[in-house]
Amino acid sequence: MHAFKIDDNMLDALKELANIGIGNAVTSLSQLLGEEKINMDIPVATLVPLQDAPESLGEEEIPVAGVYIKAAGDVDLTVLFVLSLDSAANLITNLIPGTKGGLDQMGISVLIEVGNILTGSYLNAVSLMTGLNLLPSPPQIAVDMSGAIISTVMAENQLIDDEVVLLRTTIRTMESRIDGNILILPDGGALEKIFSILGLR
Amino acid sequence: MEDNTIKVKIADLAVKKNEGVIVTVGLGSCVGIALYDSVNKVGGLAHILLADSKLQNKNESFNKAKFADTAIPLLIGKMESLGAERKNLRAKIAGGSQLFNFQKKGISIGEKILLQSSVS
Repeated sequence: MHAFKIDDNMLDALKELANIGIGNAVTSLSQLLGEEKINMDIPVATLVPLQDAPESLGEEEIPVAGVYIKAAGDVDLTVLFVLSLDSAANLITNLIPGTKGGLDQMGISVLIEVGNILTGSYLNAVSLMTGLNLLPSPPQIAVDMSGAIISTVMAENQLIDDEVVLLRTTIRTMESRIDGNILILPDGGALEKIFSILGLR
Repeated sequence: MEDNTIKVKIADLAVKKNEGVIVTVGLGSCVGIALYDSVNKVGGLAHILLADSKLQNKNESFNKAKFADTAIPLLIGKMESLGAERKNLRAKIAGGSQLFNFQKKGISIGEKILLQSSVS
């Protein structure tokens, strides 16, 4: 359990923070794709039992590409940008026309860079709203089952709480057929700081 | 999945006697530990997230299946209560992959144990 109880007000605040932050990130992606229209779902902020977290992106055995960025600084946050393999290929061909969108060195590099830009805009927005100093680590990428990627991220961050706060949103581009998920995992210490800045604690 | 299939989630474990299947998916850097007593037909499987329960505040009750040092004794205990005997147990371990290649701040638990055991 967390050191304090997370109530609906707090989840709402996180949702709003994610909404603005991811909104900025999606604007960056749209500019990158040549002002293409992108639909973004309203982020969902949930408190889920640790054991159910690997299923949070649906079927946990489907292979996906996941770009993982850890932000450190005043608080620790993990941002995961997850694409189905089809969407990853569409994103690569869109940005480097003429390629087949394979996950070769160039393809991987494109995905990492897009993850970097999305996360950078998100962190920038969160930093402006909260005054927190957030420094992203160089992004890492893995292609594996979605459940494996999420559980690895939780192990990497040594999440010892039995419930984790997950912020999730789905984005969908209108022309290039890219469906992606953005997942944000704040750790307990980060939540405590964010809530006190927002005056909820 | 068939009815007598038990699915083990992350930080979870299950035991079964006689007929049955125990599965877990998406190990990633987690570790799956399967134990089987072929004489008494008792099997067990744990999907472990972290290595050491020292990370957990001891004053609170916690999920023992999450940590290797607490999950394995718990798994063996549950299997023994179904009639398994320690001398018959055989183990298979899978997982522990390094999906992301981070610049290391520390040292991986595997390397630490190997160093402690003077294995290089």
